[in-house]
Amino acid sequence: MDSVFDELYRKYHHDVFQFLFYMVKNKELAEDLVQEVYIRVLKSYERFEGKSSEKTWLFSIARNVAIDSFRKQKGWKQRILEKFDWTTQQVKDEYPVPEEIAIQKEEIQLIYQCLDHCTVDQRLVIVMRYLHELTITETAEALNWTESKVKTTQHRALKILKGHMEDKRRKEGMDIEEVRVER
Amino acid sequence: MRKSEWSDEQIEELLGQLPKIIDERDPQEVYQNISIKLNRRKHKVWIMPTAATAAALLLLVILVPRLFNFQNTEEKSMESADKSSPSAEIAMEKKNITKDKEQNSTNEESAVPFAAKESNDTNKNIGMRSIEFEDQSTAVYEEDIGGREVLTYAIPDDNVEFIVPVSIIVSKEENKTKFKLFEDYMERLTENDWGLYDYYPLMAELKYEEENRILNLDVPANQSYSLSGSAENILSQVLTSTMKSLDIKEINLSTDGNPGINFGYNGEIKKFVPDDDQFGNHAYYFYYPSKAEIKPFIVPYNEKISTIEEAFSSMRKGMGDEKLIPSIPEDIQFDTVKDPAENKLTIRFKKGTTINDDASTLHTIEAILLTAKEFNYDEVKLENAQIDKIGRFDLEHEIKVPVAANKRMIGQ
Repeated sequence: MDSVFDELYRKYHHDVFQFLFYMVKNKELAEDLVQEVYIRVLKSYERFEGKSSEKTWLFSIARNVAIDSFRKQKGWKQRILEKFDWTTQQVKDEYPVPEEIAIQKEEIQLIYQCLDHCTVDQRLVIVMRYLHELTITETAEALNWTESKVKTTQHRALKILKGHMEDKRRKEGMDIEEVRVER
Repeated sequence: MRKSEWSDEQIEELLGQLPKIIDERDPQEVYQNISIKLNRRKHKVWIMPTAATAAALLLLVILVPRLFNFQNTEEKSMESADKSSPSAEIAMEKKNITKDKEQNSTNEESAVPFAAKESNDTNKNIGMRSIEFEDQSTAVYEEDIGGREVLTYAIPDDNVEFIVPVSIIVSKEENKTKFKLFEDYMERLTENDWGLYDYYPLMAELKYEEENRILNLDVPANQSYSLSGSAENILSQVLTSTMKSLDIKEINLSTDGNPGINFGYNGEIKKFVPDDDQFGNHAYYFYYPSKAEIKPFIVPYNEKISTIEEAFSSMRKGMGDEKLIPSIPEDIQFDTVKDPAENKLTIRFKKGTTINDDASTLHTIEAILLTAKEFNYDEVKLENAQIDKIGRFDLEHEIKVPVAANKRMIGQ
């Protein structure tokens, strides 16, 4: 096996895979995408100058791969309608919830669903910050954004998640009450 | 009732508890899949240029005879595409090819434009010349326009990170203002073919008040334009560049007839005012989109630079990332002599710098010209080049700065 591949696999494979999974919420697709990340990395490895850390560099490539895949999924008609900015669009998916999630407690499942309400940008930040525990600086580096943009995006994402969690809770609460009334 | 309030910390905690998801495949399997793809790509890389070369040669065979008839192929192919039906064109080409076969006898007359310049050339030499004539330059120059209209569109790159000005040359039409042409041709841009982001036509209704140069831009209400910071920035660059190229004074924004568009980052904006930073003093870099573009786009980066010397030195470095790459190679060294009174810039190549008459040098010269234009120079003189021409540029004389960057053709 290629020594570069070997090293990358050992150091980052699970991180990159998990990142892609939470971006696209589909294991099979994440498997394909992680391969695409390797292809891009292996083709440009010599060009990696060590300006940013290897980790943020990989995340930035993974991010591009994820975004490209969203773009491919959309038909051209949809893209024309969203011409102004597709990164604010939500990622809609009807993929089955994987077992790892299904066995978690209710709140975790809820928040997993609520991720769908975030835009691509927001989701990028959430996954990098809270699942991979990148610092604000690292996240900014990986996304090629300013730190303040990371902060605002993070703030907004949390607000949206909060809003939808409350919504869901409220609806559920009502469901339970209705059941009680019927009885 | 259960409590329905969540704190940021709780949400953060929950996010942190999302389970790890693991790729269950064997590393060997992953590696296998990658190497298959890597090899397949290499293969493609080899096939595409070959196919492109073959196609280009075929085109050349068809077009060279036509060159004899027309001084400028581009001009004519645009016009004839508008006027004549495809079948008529094919018939013309056939006629030209047969003419060519009969060579010396019949086409003397049609060879006049070149024969006049190079009086003793045989037909064979004329053929050679017309291959050389194949213009490698990318920008629009005054002499290319020939009474037509140049329309410049600001198109985002494929990743929507910066904008690329692209210009097309179109025939003027009676009763149509430049703005109307701009609007009409918006639909015919083939951004994807150029390797750029499919941005036009804008999903908005445009109304232009010619007399006071005010553009009204109305977006439908059912659309959310709460743009992200970067996309908003791109839109603002697009509007700025459009204002500049069409000489628009003001843009009023509205949503479904009601004043204002609600932007996520800047709140509601009713009137678009261009950022001062976006005018002038930009340096130009090369951009090769991933798709098979042979010519680079020569792209201004949206950052104001105070002096032209600084602009040139950052053009040697590129813009850090892999996309906007250096437009002046290290082995081309020169001094600049400024003559602001005459709006003239002199580039004096240093000893040891070898200037070749090839496409990449030509593109470097174009990047220098476009940057010079940003700094308000009208013409540039190249000295100490040791050769007398680079592509279309005659180095004996001052070279006029281009009218617009990145000339592209549009399809039917």
